[in-house]
Amino acid sequence: MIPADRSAPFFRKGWVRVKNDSGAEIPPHSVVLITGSESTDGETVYTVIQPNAASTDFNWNGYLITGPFLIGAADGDEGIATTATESALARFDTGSPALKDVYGPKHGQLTLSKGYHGFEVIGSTTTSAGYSVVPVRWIGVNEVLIKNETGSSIAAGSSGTFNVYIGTAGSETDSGMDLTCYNRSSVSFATAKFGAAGRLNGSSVYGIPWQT
Amino acid sequence: MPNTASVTVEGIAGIRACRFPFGRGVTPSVACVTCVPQNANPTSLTLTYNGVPLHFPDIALASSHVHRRRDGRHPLMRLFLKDRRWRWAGIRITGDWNRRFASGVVDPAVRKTPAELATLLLNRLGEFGFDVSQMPTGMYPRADWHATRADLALQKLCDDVACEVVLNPLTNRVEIWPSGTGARSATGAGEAVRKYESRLRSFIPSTVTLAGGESLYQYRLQLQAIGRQSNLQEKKLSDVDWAEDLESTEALTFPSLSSNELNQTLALATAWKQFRVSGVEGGGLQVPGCQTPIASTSQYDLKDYILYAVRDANGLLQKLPYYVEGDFWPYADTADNVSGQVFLGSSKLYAERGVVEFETPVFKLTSTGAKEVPELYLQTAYAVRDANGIPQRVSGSINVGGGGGDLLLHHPEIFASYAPTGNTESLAYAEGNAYLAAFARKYQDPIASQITYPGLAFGSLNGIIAQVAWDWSVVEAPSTIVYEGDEMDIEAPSSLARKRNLQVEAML
Repeated sequence: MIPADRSAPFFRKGWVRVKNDSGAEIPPHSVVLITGSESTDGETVYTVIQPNAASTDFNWNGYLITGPFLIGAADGDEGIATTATESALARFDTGSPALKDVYGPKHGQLTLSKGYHGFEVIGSTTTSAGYSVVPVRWIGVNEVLIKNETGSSIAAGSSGTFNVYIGTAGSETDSGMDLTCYNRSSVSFATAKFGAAGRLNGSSVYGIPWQT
Repeated sequence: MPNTASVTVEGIAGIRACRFPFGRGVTPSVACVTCVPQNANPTSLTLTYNGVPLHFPDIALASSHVHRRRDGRHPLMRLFLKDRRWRWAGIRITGDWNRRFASGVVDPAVRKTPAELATLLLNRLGEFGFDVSQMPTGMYPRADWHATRADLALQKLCDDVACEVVLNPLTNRVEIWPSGTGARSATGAGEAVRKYESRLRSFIPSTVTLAGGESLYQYRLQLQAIGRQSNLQEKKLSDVDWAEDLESTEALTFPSLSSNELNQTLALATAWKQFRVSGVEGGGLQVPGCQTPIASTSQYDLKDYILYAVRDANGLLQKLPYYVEGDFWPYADTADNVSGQVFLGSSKLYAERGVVEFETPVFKLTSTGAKEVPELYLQTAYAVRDANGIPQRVSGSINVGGGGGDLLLHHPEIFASYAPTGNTESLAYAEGNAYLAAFARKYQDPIASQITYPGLAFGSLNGIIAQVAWDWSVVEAPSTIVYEGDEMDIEAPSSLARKRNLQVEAML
């Protein structure tokens, strides 16, 4: 039995206030992307949208998991969300999440998808509001697999846009998200070749080729 | 004329006269003994008639004074001697009996009949061989003694159950007699003055009425979500003037009302936090088992406890507080509502308004996670008042035929409780009727009388014979006056005066 007082599970989590800027309802336990914030009566209210709704840019962070409430679609509708640094119940698209699986936001949806980046499964699936949800924890993104699909090499000492690849090693697929990286290596990053990208020096993103 | 009567007081010589009105109750009767002036420290008084003594041990001198006589003859001394009941005044008792559960039922662990209470008191007073067997049964007077004078507690107990405390001088033992019972004074026994009867109409009530405590009900009360609108009027939540701007997804913050600070403040303060009683579970206002027509929820007089008690670490019964139960979202990780569960969060009951206010918003979640009105019920005890504000209570009345108005027996500890599991109505009325029966017996034959016998007649008091006055002197023939119905001797305080003095003493 849950006491429904201040010791209830809801009050043991750090919730933040969010405002829906996506133009559509956000169901419970959704992953959303912060696009800004404003101060309302002294409280920071984060503006959120569906992940990568505006572009295909890969985001290293800025994701929140919404609470067990529906967030309305009307202008100014608000809800609550968490950074999930401890845990949060999140919806997922398909499959059967297993402990230690990595799930992450996918372009164009409010559910987590396997193989995408950022969240680790830390529990077993359950249901909430008719949805299947699983406990996850934000573990961050250290490095991603990238592929040069520009059609031409990206020379050493220059920047280019790379596609972020995910999936089983050896059979990775295009995630639909892309990333601008700086080739700080001494060799050219050939087209159709794989490499890795990481964020260093604050927010600078560097890509290094694994293949020549 | 030969005088076969005598009065002796241990340590006192030259007794000239003695008048001794001896009555009922816990206060000592006082004998007035006239004698030659002397140092006085009497310890016992004995009346003797025709060789038969009537002994009053352990008397105490209340006062003495010497007065000069106007005819110049030697002065006389008057000694006022209390019977042994003088010792009772200094004895105290502590005890807690006949506590009741919240439902009004006496806790069996501390239940005492009037006879059992009298036994405790008389034991504490140092009495033994007493007789309390005639005390009425079926009632359980509250006895909450905290270093209370045992004699006053005994008088109150007997007054409450229409009994009389009698110190039987023949046996020197205490007897408790139900008022209105016992043998009458004999007539045709050579009395010196025949029996004259009188009807003390002003002391006999016309009716005796029992007023019990409020009847209490505990059928679940339905709670309705309310809000306070911009004119500060309280309304059903869906009817407040800012409700149309409210989104179904809002309950913690109300950004849809941000353009009107007053409305947003009122929403934050009241929406999903305040619920008022709208009727009984299942709809309607009428409470099962209640005879009073109920036209408004204002007729519910809410209490903040339920009809159940538990024992604390000291074994004392403690009432349990009200609670709310129903279907609501319990602030869990998931969006699932609970059903039929007790709400264990913080709340406050505003009984006079019939409103429960929660510290945090209480709502249900729909299948899509939107907010909706929870289904909540209040579990608490409540009385029901009629349209004139009079609460339903256990009551009863009997006619006793006097002219003294209505004698009200106020017993708030006797009340009926009604709940889905049953009711205590028959128990409460049985106890109330026991009190009425005791007073019906007291006033069944409300005739006072006085008869005078020659000599010193020895007998005991009872529930009818209230007082005996022995009169002896060296110059006159002795006599005995027997009073039925009340203590009417003009040389002693009336029973009413005695009891009023006791009430004053109880306040000291």
